[in-house]
Amino acid sequence: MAREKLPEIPADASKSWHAVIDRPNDLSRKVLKSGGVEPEKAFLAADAIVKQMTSEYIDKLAEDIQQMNVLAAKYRKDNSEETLDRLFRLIHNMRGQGATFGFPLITEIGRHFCRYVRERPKRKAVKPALVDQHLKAMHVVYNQSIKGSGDEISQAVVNALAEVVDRELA
Amino acid sequence: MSKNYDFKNLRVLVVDDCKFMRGILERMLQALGLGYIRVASDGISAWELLCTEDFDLIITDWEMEPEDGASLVRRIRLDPDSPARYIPVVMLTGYTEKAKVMNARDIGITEFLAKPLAARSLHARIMNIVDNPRPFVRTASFFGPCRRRLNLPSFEGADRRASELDAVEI
Repeated sequence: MAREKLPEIPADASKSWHAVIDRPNDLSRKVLKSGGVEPEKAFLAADAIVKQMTSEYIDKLAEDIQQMNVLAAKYRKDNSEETLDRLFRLIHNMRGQGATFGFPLITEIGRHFCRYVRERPKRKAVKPALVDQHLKAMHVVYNQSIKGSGDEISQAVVNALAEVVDRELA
Repeated sequence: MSKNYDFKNLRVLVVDDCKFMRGILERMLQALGLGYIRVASDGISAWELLCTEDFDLIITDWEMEPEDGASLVRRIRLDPDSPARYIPVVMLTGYTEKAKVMNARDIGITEFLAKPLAARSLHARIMNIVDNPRPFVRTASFFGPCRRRLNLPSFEGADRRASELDAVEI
């Protein structure tokens, strides 16, 4: 495998020094411009795959919710950064998957939770009650199998979480 | 009219800590006609694969343990022993915050794709990489695909690189 050296910075480089490196377009040579899958057909096939995997997703969501409960209970006891980090990683993944499978509220709640945990000012400790509010909202979406953007109440809950997080991040 | 490019010769490395997401991504890529797909669960495993096999494209998640996607991209671009310094990297992540997008650009990713995962946007990113490769740029503080989003032959306007070395250019 050919290793290519990192372009060096001249010792006398000024602050504005920069080098532009043009590369041969290897991918264009490897990708034939015709004969592949018709994109629209591929998108339909991909949609069908997502549909097929939705029941697997629901099972996975159930496992994630259970794991979330375990970590939240542990966090209430030990209040440790490590447990909070595990909870963050779990919810970050849930956030990434939710909207893909028709549960955008899981994604939205997860997004607010992740913002709160990672972006809060260092001087502010995490409030366990606010963590719990996010988890409760996740529970409601899961238990009631709320797909799409939900009803007015669901929206109000998510918006309220967003507002509280915004205040905490200020 | 859509282009039915033939991606069967492309060799792709998918990096995600979530087995479920790796699975769906792999199946979506197959639906789009990609012929060779390997998977890794974090940056360290991905690096090991990169050292033993040639790939044309990496699609990586951000949040992973023990090595995350950002660290993997930094290593690919800057490590003296990098086996694939110029490889295109798509950062596929649950993060949607502007600061994260900027951060991803600054570490040298090629394309940013926010979850939810959709075949159409994945296809668009791959097409863009094939059709509009960007030159690489080396400055005192950056090495990676040119951060100016438009691949213009000449840039008309103030040379911000001269005055704002660390400016993000999109």
